[in-house]
Amino acid sequence: MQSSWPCDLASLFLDKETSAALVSNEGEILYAKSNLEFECPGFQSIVEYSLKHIALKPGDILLTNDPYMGGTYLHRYTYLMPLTALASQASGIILCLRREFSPRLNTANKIDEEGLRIPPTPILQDKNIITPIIEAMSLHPLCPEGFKDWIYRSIQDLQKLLSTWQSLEENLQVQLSAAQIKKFLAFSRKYNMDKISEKTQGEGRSEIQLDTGEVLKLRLEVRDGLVKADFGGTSAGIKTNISDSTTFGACYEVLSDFYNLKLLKDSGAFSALQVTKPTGCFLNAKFPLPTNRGLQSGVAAVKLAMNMALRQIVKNQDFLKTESDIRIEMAFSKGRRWLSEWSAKSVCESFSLQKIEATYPVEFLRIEKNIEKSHLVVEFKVLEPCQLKWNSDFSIHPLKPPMPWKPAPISQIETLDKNQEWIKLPSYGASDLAPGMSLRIQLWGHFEVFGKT
Amino acid sequence: MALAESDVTLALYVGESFAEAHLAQQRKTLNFHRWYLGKESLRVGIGKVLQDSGIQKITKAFVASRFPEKIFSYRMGGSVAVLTTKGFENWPRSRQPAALKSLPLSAADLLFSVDERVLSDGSISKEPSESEITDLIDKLKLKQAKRVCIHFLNARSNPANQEKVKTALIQASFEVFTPDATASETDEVALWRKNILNASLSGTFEEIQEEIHSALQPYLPDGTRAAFLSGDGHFFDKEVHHRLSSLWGGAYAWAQGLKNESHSDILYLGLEQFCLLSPEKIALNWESPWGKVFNTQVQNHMLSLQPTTTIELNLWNELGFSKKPVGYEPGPMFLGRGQSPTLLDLWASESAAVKGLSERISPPGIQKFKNQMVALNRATTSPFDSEERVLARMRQNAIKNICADIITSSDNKRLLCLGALAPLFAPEIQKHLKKFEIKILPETETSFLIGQEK
Repeated sequence: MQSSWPCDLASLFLDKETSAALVSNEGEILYAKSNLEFECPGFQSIVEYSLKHIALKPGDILLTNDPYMGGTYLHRYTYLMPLTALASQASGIILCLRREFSPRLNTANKIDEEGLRIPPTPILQDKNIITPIIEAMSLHPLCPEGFKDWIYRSIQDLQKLLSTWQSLEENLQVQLSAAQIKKFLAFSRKYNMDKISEKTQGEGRSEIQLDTGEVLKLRLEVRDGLVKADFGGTSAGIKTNISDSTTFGACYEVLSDFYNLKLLKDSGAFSALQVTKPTGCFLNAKFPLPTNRGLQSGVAAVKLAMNMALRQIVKNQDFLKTESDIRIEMAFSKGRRWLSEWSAKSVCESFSLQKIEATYPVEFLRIEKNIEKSHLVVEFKVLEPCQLKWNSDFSIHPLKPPMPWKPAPISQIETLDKNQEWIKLPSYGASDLAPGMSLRIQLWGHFEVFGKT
Repeated sequence: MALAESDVTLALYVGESFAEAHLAQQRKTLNFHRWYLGKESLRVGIGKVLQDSGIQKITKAFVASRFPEKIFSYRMGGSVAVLTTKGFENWPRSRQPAALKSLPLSAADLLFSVDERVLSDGSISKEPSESEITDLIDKLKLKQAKRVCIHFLNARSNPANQEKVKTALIQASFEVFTPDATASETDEVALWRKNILNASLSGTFEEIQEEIHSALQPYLPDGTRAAFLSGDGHFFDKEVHHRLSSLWGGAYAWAQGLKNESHSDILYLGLEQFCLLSPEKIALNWESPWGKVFNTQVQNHMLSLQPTTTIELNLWNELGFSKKPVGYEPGPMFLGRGQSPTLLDLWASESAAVKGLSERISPPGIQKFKNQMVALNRATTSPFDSEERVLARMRQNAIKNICADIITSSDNKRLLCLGALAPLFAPEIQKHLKKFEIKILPETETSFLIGQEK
């Protein structure tokens, strides 16, 4: 068997999915992909936890969105389904499929107040849908509308994927032995370590103060192809909390970008990184702490800290960019709710101004984006009263990046008051907007190098 | 011998590097020709197929063309200027998927804005002023723009502002393109991208049309021109808004022509493209190199391996396939000019039976390919012990990959296989896909189906 075959096969099998993974019955990720890169390593925690507590057969389906068991945002649900018998001679393969449904911007003091949290729960066993469990979920006060139907549709998709996998097994050799998996993962680890070793070794430090009061401290060491991220000295969570697997995922995302390790996303590749955090710090939050804000500002802080520390070790003169991202939820009358996400770095791929204006009482006044400079300005007016909630990953305090980078201008969210003056708002919060009021978002995600344009 | 001249139709399938012509009378093949466009122009090839058949007159000519695709790899836009609502000048660029890394569709120096605004309910919030339009025309002339796309927000709710600017531009002798107002899609950027692509393809498209027209003029009735087929089944000639869609005209014709073969997917194994069509499914958008483009077409899945996908050392230091096909300029090594080994090189000996390739096979090219594969094999971590084993293993890997692609992309276990390479690949695919029913159609079918009027 060609070494690339597991990757080639998984890439074809999961081609239409935005976030998914194939995991062995030992919990080793063989292939992962996600539109939120930091999610990829988390699939391992989901499978490990699920297999420890629940016996599964091919075709059985579990559902979870628990951020403390490998999940991320509560609106991103993971379906887990064994594709093969887990105790067969060949290694068992488990499919993890992550899909988004009805995103909301809920921040609260406890995770269970931010939305419906589902620990790994069987929803289909022995070919039978467990209707009472799905019904119970849909009766939860925070369960999004239409959830039940969405689950049934997803189950159909999963069953189709199972049948495709079985067809692959019938027609082609797709089984992997434990030895083959071991060899595959060992290669990925070595590949990553070799790539990391090609650049300078050393140590870097960074510190970031979050607007919610937390302080993140990082000591990063790169030696012999291994990267050790030590967050010793990082404070406890005040309003920002992220789980272990999310912290690891955010660190790996930066590493993968920096060393160009994007080709392999499996447990072997991830093992080139070691992350340690003190107990009780905001980067290894525990249930029942809320995570919604942390998934935005906490993840961004980890990524920025990693980026700054890495650039001290490898004297890289590339432009330093952050996401500089803001999520805004506007609630109008009759239950109309518009959640949008704006980023300085990423493009607005699926945004249609015409569709938004046709659906919600807003009028866009200006959108300017400079992709190269990671700068975005959005200005729009509300035409009906609305409640505004927002959360961002930027700080209103100026950042102090290491030399030779100049700090990027401070990102801002502002409203236009009655005197036609722009009033600055904090980096997260809630407010009421009257008809005719305008909102302006200015995002900067680009640190220039002194003397370089 | 002169044949009866009634009901003789010519169907052309024009690819990036190859063309096929099929001459038929009452569904019976009179002549079929496939040729390499680098050696024989479209005009010469068409002339040849008509002369060889002894035909004096034809009734109709139909064309499906993927030729414009050739210019996608170059910077699009050319002399196409784009006008947007003021404040939203770089909105389409902001929506271009970063991962695709394509150049923007419109050149920055040909991007202009107009101080106008229509709201979503169709009410006009700001009308463009006469003086601004006059200034704009001067700027466009200065930039020597010939074609202008107008992309105003909510123009489909009320096109008054758009029409006002359009009228002025037409009077100033510009060719003006506006987005399809009747489209079911309302995402402005998906419609704008299609509009720019239609405008950008115009020059090349008209050149092909004229070449075909001049070749067919002596044969077609006076005033009749070849009809191009769009991806949604429209025959067109001068209508500019179908130009991009013509890329999927062939797929439409095959899906329509084979719809009586119940519940089968179509596996197209052409010289330039391997794809899987689901005739019963319609896709509303094309996932283009610039992002989503509104374009109704038969659902079409490009296989991950293509005939000219190159062979290289992969991440694992084994022989593998790259992600991108190189096309036929210069093409596979066995055709003499190629420098990189490709998938089709693995089938070099069998290619002697394929029209369009047989005339170009180069024995030194075949040897050069084998030498290169031997060299590549030596560079791998675990080399094979003989040249034969290398080639056999690579063929096996290619077929296995194609089969996995078919299984994961098709809901159907019945496949109709057409295209010039179908006789080479389909039997090997069938060996692996034992539970699939694969029917290989004659090589003439690709262009024959284009000539069947709906």
